[in-house]
Amino acid sequence: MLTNPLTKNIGPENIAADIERYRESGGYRGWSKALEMAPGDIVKMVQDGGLRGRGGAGFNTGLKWSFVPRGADSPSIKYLVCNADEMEPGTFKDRLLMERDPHLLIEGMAIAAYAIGAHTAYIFIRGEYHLAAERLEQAIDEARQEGLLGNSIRGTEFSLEIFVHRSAGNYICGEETALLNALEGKRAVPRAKPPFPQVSGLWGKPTVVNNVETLCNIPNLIEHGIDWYRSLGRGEDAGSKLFGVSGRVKNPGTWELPMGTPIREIIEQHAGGMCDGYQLKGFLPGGGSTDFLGPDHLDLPMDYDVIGKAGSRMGTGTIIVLDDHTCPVGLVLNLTRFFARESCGWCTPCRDGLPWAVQILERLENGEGVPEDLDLLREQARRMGPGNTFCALAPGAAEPIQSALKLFEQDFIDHVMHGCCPFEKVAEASAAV
Amino acid sequence: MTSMIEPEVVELMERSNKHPSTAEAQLTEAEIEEIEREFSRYEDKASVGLEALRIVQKHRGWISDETLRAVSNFLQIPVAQLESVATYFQLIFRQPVGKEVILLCKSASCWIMGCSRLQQKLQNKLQIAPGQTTADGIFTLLETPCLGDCDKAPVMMVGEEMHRNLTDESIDKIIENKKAHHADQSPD
Amino acid sequence: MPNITIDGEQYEIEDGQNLLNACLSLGINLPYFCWHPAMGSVGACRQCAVIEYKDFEDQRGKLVMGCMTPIKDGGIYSVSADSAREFRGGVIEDLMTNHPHDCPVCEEGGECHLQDMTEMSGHTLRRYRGTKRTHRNQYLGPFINHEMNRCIACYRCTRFYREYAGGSDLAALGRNNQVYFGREQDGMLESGFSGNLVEVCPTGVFTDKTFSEHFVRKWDLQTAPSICEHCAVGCNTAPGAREPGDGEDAILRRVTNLFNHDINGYFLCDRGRFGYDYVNSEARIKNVLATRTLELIETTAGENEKIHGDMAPRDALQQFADTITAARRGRRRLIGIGSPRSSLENNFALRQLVGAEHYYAGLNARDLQLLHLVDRIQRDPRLYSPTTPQIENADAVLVLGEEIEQTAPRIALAVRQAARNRQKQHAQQLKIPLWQDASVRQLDGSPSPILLVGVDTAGLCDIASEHLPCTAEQTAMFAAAIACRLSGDDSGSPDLPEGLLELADNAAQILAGAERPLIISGCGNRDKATLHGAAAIATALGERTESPCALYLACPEVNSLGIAQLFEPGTGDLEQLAQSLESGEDTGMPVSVVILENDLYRRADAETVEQILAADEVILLDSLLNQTARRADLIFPAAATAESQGSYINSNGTAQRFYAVYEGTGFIQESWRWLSDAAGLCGAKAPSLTALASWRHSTDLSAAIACEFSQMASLADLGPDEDYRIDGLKVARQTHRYSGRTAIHAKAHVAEQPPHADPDAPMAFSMEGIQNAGETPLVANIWSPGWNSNQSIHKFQQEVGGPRRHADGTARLLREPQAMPSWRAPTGSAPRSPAELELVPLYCLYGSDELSARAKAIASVIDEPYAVLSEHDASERAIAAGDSVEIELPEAHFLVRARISTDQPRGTLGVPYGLPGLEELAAYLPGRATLSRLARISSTESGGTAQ
Ligand SMILES: Cc1cc2nc3c(=O)[nH]c(=O)nc-3n(C[C@H](O)[C@H](O)[C@H](O)COP(=O)(O)O)c2cc1C
Ligand code: SF4
Ligand code: FES
Repeated sequence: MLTNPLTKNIGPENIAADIERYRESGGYRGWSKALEMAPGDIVKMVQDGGLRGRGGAGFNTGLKWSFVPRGADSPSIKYLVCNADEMEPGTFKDRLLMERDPHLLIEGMAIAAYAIGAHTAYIFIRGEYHLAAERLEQAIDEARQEGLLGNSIRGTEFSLEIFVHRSAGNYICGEETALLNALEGKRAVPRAKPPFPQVSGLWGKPTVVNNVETLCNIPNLIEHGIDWYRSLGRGEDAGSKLFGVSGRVKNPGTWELPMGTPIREIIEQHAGGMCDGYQLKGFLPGGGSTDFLGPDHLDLPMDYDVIGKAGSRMGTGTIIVLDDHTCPVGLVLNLTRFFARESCGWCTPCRDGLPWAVQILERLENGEGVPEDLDLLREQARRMGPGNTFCALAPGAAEPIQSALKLFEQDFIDHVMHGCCPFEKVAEASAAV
Repeated sequence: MTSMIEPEVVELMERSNKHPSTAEAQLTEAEIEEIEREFSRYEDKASVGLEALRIVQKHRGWISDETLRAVSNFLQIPVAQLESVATYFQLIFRQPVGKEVILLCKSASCWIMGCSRLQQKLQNKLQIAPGQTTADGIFTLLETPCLGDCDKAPVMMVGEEMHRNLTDESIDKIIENKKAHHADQSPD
Repeated sequence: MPNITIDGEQYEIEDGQNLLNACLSLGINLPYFCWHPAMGSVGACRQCAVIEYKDFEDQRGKLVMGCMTPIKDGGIYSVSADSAREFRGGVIEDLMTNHPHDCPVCEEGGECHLQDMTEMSGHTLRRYRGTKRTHRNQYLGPFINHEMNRCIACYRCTRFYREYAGGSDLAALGRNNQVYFGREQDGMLESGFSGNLVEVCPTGVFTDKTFSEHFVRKWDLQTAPSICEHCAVGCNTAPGAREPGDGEDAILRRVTNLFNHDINGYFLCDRGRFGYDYVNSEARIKNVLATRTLELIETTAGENEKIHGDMAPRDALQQFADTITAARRGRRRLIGIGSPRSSLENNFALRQLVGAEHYYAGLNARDLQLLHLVDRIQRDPRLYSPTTPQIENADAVLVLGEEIEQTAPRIALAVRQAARNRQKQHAQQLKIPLWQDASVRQLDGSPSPILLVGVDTAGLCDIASEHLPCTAEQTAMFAAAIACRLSGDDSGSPDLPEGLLELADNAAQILAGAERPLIISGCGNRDKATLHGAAAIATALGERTESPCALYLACPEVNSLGIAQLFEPGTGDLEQLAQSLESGEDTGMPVSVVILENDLYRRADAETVEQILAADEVILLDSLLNQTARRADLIFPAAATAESQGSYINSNGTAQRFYAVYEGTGFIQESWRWLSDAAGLCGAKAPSLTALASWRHSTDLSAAIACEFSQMASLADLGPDEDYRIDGLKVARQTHRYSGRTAIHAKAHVAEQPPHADPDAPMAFSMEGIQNAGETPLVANIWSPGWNSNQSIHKFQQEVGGPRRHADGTARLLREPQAMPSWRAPTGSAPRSPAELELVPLYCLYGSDELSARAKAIASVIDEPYAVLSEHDASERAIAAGDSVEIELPEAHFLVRARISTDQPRGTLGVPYGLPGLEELAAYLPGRATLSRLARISSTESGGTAQ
């Protein structure tokens, strides 16, 4: 039974699967099957399959699609947008899919567009992903030539064009409504909700935004069915997922594993455990905007709700490992700098709070901190909590800060007490290795 | 500018602040063709603004005031609106850059893996700070958010090419190669 | 109506609001920045946070933004909860990290929303220890200062400038905490509404540059409610004045908006805001001037022009009185010429002095007839003159032959809002509340139909669904065609070219299909047929739906419609006067002409003006020296609007009273007072003169007008009269914080001088009295404890954004309803010789209005004389843009620079009305003239002259 639907075409060498190879392994069968189904049934199937969005929030994909108005009196123009802005620190899964198996995404998008009734779809890809963009464009051409895209696909009435839109930077473009603004050639500031994009999105038309990996799940789900898909997961959540590990582990990388794979298994088995001489001090389970977890969380399975209950988020499922030689204050400073720089500048706690947090962290890291700074940081993290800011960027930024202050409080205190960063020497020494 | 300042000074400030650049720039045929191709992909012309800037930048390296105005004229988008977008996106360069833009990843995984030290090395080698261009006009060094290759940290991008698992040696090699490449290209 | 609980108190409130709005309407203080009563919510600043509870059990609640939270029936909220308070304080602390704390040198200090909100948040201790980022400021032209470091990034400026007012040259640049609100490069802000940034910006980023020139704190300004005198919309203003501090008399320092729900709401145009400075102009008349008979060795005066010297007012009045006496005794003809830019009271006093039969309107026949036609049309029961909110609410707009962006700018701003009604409708379908501004604006919604037809349609063409540049004649024919289609009577439909017919069909369909159609036109074309056409469409629409249709007719001047009320149609124009003077020549009786605040050269052709000014004695009452003043024998300094009390009637027939902000310098007083003084001095004792001499208060005149003219009966109850008191006190014009009232005069008087009494209004020129009479229309210094900025206005409104809680000092004219007879479009005009061009008036926000054109800042941006011709006509005459050309009329010629526009209808020459240098051309518009090119100035030559 197929257990690696996302990566089955990804060979060891750094080349993309072309359409022939893609087809050999059963490619575009899902698409053919979908074209024979009623769009509503596809939506239902995806919903029942339990596919949850892989962009970070984990929202049921089929349910999201079902909010798109359908029927005769619904707007005739609808859009599908693939979110390929992957810019969250420590996240490197969508790049892999796009560079190595572009047709999987194209097929997923075709099915999704058909299901929601969109005739135009965009792949919003970050500007630095030149290779992925080129390969996707090539794959789109190939699919068009074979009549899998374009007008009246396979003799049906359905037509679909997919365009690659290369963005010009900025993490906030990954936020789905900011992304829509960017696609419209505007400043990528998040939009007010309601209206939700499914009702009024790109150019005011109903729009679905999905992550690359989410869409890559679709073809096999459709082809092999709900039961198969559900059975892929080991825990509560359905399907398989790309998990990744970066940091000082022996074998950093990305692997397709069942949902619910325990974290320990990912880090120790797949990533080969910590590099010699390093201990695991903590980790960010799903990218830079998730809360730190500690060694006692290693046995948790990677399921959305489980990680949520533990006080973090599964996010993108790409783990950043913090080792005992790396300064947690420095890492939080690094992340906060990123978020401060990537703030869109719309709402106050994020725009002005983050740069302030950066300054405090800088002072702490430089040994100029005072004890009150810790409270101030906590206060700021609280101020950027969910619902307090306009979009989810700032709450995401607050997560590593607040959790580090809990988990690594002693390290923060040490910085203040010693008047310097106790890690510096270690870091230098290790760099010399 | 407050009323507390002498009027003469105010006037002087105002005058020195005024430097309307009126120089005209034209889009090339190739640029226009590429931009026009985008029209069919979007609902309206105004949406092509950012695409157009990206296209023109591809040809010219950066977006000068004159270029900005040329794009604004061509697309009939008010120049302030275009500037608003141009200054928003970090990959649109509103200042001249070198032939090779180095995007050095500074995000979490690369930081853990020592990108700061490599940055020092790179800066010493090129004798520039982030945001600057080497005297020979070949390299511009920019710090960039996560490049999405964290399992191969530290990484950087030079032009359109990714370089992974960077070490002191590999950085030397990459820079020397690029230098040699550009030396070949120049007439002498 | 939903019931809600806020901090344990129960309230019943209007449905459909957001929580911030509700709190403010209930008088609960909740700080905010990005929300604006006219612009709605976007949730950017996060300042208005409150706690929302699930139910009474819920102790923690959830933090929500007041401005983004629709109130729910049964909702439980807390403004004062510690967690909400802490959050709001934190937001202030965040906002202030980059703020320079430069309040002592900031023009906004003392009326700063940021100061108020900081106080309100209770946040006093800043813990930020880092450096602050700094920005370079931009030069934004002569009206607006820029100090970006004070910015708190609430995005109100760009939201107002771009989204509300349609400007395109101000934008948010950059991102994160580097965002910068400015232009792409230095230069004057192009929008005619840029001045509102001063009030929209909650801190001191955008401040009034003209005010900076003579800056004082808001609390040191003396204010009174006034009416903008620079067009006929009748916006309410709050001018502020104060002594310069060197012992001199007060000067007018600035104008800010004064909220009037039905007229200007929260916004003014730049002509209205920056035009005030004319009263401080060097051309201001402050003393009585009389012709000198001295022999001069050398003079710069032209032929016929007189040379003036100061005269003691008493002597001058005696001379005036002698003239009146002589006239009464039948030894002199005494003629009075009124003015549409002077108050009803002044005009009425002049009429009283000379007698109705010798009183003229100060307008040429065409202009006066147009006003009478407007008056007549507005009486038609099938239509009504809409208020500004009604205009904003229209779902289809047809603008016919009127450049409202230039002639009635505030109305154009309202039309911009109407353009969004389709989108708003869409929002309502999606159940998105309209105050969710960003949500509504991101919806797909093709703009509502806005059709522009006329000579210059450029002003609003960015929101127009259709714009058709065409001549006045075509405009009228086009209107007739639409009217015919609407009334179903095609018999009289004019011959229009194919394309136009189709457009007319389309327009008729759109208007007929609209629920709230609006027609806008006015006197701009100076063409009766245009007005008739607009009326025909509106009446046809009114008949179709059997409910009155909205028709806004823009009049040219602040009191145009007022002066029309004083004359029977067909009487009182300057040509009639000239004729009667000519025919009266043989009687040999000397003629004295009294001119009230009017420059005749702008009004009538050279011959007519010459005929009138050739009178034996010309007495002028006016505020600024102008061309007519050069011909006057006796000149009395007249008070400007800000220095006097009186009433104006605006374009939609609303009478409004303005109050003196301060007393004019020197011998300045209201024109009617000069007339009354002269009447008092004269020997003749006719009842009309005795009455005139006995009037002591401006309200005496208003009452007399109300008595004599039934349609103006409401003038009597426009506002409280001078005897009105609150708790036995008058209303103070100065604030309770007014400083230095003794010291400021110490140079002249060591002892404190008693304040001057105001005979006209129940207001004091001092800080004594009621400080905060917001319940009357008497205050302009809108202030409430904790609310020092203009945002405090909500404390005086029925609900946020609603009308003022008490009378706002306005009254509609009470005119007899009278249906218009039906009308047919004219069919073609007399053929024009090929050499001739049709002169058509164009209007300029800066320049067309006589008074504001003399304000320093505005004068600096007025264009050099120019004229616009079509590409075709230009090439036919080998004229290039920028060429010097001469407009030749039989009696006069004018030198202008040629401009070429693709939108200028062929065969026409657009001439800016009243532009300095072309004032005397105004009387010939529309008309015909030939155009010739002077030698082209080569670039080197012009470079040479520029040196
Ligand atoms: C600041 C921010 C950045 C985001 N960046 C990304 C991104 O790069 N890629 C992505 O797929 N989703 C990103 N998201 C999540 C998207 O907003 C959105 O939830 C997602 O694209 C939906 O797709 P899914 O339902 O398939 O997960 C981001 C969200 C936020 C708040
Ligand atoms: S949290 Fe606010 S400022 Fe930050 S990115 Fe979102 S909307 Fe912009
Ligand atoms: S006023 Fe509510 S968020 Fe700004």
